[in-house]
Amino acid sequence: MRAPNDKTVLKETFAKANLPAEIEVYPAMHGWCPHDTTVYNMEQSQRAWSRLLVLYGKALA
Amino acid sequence: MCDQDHFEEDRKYAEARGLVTRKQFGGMMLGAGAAMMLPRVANAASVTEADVNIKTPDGTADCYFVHPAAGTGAGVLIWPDIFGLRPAFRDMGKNLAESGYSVLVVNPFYRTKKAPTAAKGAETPIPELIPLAQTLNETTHMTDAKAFIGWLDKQSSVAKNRKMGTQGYCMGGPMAFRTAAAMPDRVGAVGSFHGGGLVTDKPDSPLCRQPRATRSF
Repeated sequence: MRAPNDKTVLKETFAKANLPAEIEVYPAMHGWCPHDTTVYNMEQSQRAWSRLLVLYGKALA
Repeated sequence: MCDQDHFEEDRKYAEARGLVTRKQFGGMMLGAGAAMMLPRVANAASVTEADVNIKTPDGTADCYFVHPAAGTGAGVLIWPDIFGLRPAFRDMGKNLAESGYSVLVVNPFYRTKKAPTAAKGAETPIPELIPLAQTLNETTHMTDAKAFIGWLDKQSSVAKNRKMGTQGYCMGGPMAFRTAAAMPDRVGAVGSFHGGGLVTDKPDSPLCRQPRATRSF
């Protein structure tokens, strides 16, 4: 089920709550991160992983 | 949530990328999953790994715990997608531990059965797994989040003076959001990747729970 409006609601809600959030639609199919899925996208998955490491590096320091 | 509506579209996508022929699509991923390894972490920490059983108010959860062999790391709770706890998610947990985190990957379906919970791993048809996913709801998410974060906090390899992170995939996205809602003072960062059902018009919409405390997403 596609949810094209969710990114907007997410962005607005986090902004209203004054919470930092990186909301991004990756150019990949649903399920693209785990490397055993049929729609695994190595490039985008690695990009998402690197963004996760940046987030944890800052927020969990 | 999980893309049961898109199976045909996924097949076409895989075909277009030259990954499979139509005939192979049903049965390819065991082999491909073994071939597609995660890239190794630069300066990887050596890690210690174990299968662990965690008591919750609803039973015993079989999970995978991996952490730096020496010292402590910030705790991280990983919620898998609908295909559950399996080798790919162990790899991801290990990868994160090699970056210095103490990582718990859980079997979200422990109430029903031990991992592996999807008969054919990530190639299991989604409709077969929907009944499992339907055994979970906001209440179980919150119960489990508290139990798992509490367990992490008792481990000597988890840094007590650092906030914890949580990340979820597909149906695990809402679980990650709710982990932050369940333990707002302990969780400092949330990641949701291809999360499903984060925004709903129901009062238990995961997003409704978020705007509290200080966290990063």
